[in-house]
Amino acid sequence: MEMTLSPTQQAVLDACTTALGRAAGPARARELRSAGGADDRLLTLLGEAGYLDVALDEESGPLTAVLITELAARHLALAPVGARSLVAPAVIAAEQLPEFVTIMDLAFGGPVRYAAQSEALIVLDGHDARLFTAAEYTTTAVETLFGYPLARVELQGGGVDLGAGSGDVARRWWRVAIAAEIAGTARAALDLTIDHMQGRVQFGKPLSALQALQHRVIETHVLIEGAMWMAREAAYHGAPAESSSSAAVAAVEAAGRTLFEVHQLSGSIGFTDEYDLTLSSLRLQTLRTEAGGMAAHSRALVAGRWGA
Amino acid sequence: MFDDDADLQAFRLRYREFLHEFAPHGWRAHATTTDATLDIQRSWLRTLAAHGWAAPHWPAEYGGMDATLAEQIVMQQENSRAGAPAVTMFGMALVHAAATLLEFGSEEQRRRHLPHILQGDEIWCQGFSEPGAGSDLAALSTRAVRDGDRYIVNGQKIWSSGADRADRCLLLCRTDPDVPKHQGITFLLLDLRSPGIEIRPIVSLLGSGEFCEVFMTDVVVPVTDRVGEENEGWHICQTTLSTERGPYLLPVVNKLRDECAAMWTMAEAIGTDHAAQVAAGFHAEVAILSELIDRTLLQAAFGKSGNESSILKVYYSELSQRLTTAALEMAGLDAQLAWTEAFDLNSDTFDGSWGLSHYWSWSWTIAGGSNEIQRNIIGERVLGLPREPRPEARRS
Repeated sequence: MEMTLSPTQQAVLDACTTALGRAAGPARARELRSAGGADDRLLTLLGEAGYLDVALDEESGPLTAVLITELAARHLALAPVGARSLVAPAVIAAEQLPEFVTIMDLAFGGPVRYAAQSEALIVLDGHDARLFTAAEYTTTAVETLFGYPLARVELQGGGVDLGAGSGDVARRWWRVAIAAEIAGTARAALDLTIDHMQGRVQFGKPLSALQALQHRVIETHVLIEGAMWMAREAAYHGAPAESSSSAAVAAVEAAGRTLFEVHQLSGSIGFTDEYDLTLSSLRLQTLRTEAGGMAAHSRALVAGRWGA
Repeated sequence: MFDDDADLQAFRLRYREFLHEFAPHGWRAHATTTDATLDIQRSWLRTLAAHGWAAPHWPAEYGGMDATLAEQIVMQQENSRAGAPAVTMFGMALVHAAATLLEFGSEEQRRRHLPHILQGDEIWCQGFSEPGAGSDLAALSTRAVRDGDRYIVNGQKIWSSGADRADRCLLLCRTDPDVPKHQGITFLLLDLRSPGIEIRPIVSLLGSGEFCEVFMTDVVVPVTDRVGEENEGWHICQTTLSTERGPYLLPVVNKLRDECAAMWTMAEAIGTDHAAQVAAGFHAEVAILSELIDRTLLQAAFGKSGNESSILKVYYSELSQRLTTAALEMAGLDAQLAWTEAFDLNSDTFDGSWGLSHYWSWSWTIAGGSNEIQRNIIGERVLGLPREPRPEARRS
């Protein structure tokens, strides 16, 4: 695996960073949280610029798509960038790709991210998957403070069969997408925490100067980096069963530790609505439970590694 | 927990009989708002007081019972068994304020406040933390300037739980800025109805307004409302803080036991060895906590809990976080979305909402002296490890 980005990849990421810096971020996340919606505007912007189709591009490929997913999460984008740029291209023909698409797995109950806002739903049913248009399902929004719009879904139509084994393929890419989203979201939470620690003076020095706290930040950083690189490697290799589930396991572990550390190290301010930490940290709660959470990722890892 | 001897058994039966006759039933269905919960708790506190059970840990001469620790534990057990309301909204008054007044207050202050506390007429809050003084509490800068027989107070307090409903506040102020910071602090009893006070709830990540900011502009506090001597506040506040790491923790064991039982129900439904092991592991940890509390309480008299009480705080708060995290993993996202209408932060029973229990557990490792500070205390004062160099200690 190339551990450095190609000039093309770097150029794509730089441009995408600029776009996300303008169109996403904490203020936009708050605006959307109040309105209860998702960021159609951002998704359209990313789509028109071609960022959501980089997985299909021979030179950029899924590795660039995972980098964009990570980047979008880090900028608190409220749009299914991972589902659209990593999962959908793996199971839906390029010319039929919907712009706003999300995923649900019939094996797990519970609400679905972006279901009420999507124009299509990839439904995983065992080894296979079907694509449902918005007319073929109804949604009931669920009240949540996690920063993502969640809704329960009731399927009504039959959907379009995405082919034998498409469920397995989609599920593997979904794990990669979740890992990338966790890596980006956790990174945003940790960055803000480090800023806080550098500015917050107690006992005559910034919290960031206390070695015991430095170690905890560093350990969290390592876990996030680990999840990030696992997601990248899985994407690079085309989301094989073992590495995609390894990435998800590592990411869910990282999410749990990050959640604890960023809130503890931020102190009481992190518990308030006015502070931006919750915009990223609470999203980790959804991400770590999505797609069956740790139990399902672990089973998939065991099956992928040892065929159990 | 304890083997009851004959006296303790008689005490238990006497209290059980009282609860059987007087404890309200079906109150949870009515505790749907904070106001309704407050009414229920106040009414129950008055019933307890009318029969002499409201403040077992206080001396009899102030309306308490001089109850032993074993008797207090028995009462907690019986409260839990009977499902009686916990008087959590009066906890700061009954425990923190009372412990402070009983140890350091003047006789006049005790006579003035303790009867009102016992009757549920006064809700108290704590005014310790400031925007610039959290873990480093001694860095507080709210100023109290002596002016004859009164102090003029200016400054800001933050994270004062329940201040918007409180009548009085345990207040720490700086009275001498020219001495090392721990030596220039004075402990005042602030009447929150005084002119110059503004209280603003802070919206928490849960959308509730549990914590408040208290702004004080030229607030007058009579010198008669000072606890102890001027500039002795740091020493006094250690008693106030240590109470919440001591007997005050007894109800939390009940809640954790309840949570373990609820977790076991989930584990049974999941039906895997792993789920059973997780539930059993937490059950064992709650048993350890119970042992630690018994041991610590028996080592230290009430109100004078030693530094080992910091171990309880660390153990309890982190256990609560880990337990609720594991429960959420078992229950999935749905459990985080199913919340009760009115959640009592200090309840001694599990109210069925893993989400709220979990999010509030985050505050336990921060509030009342963060766990990092507790670890410093354990390291320095229990294990005798050297202190970290503290640059500001050189200030003189």
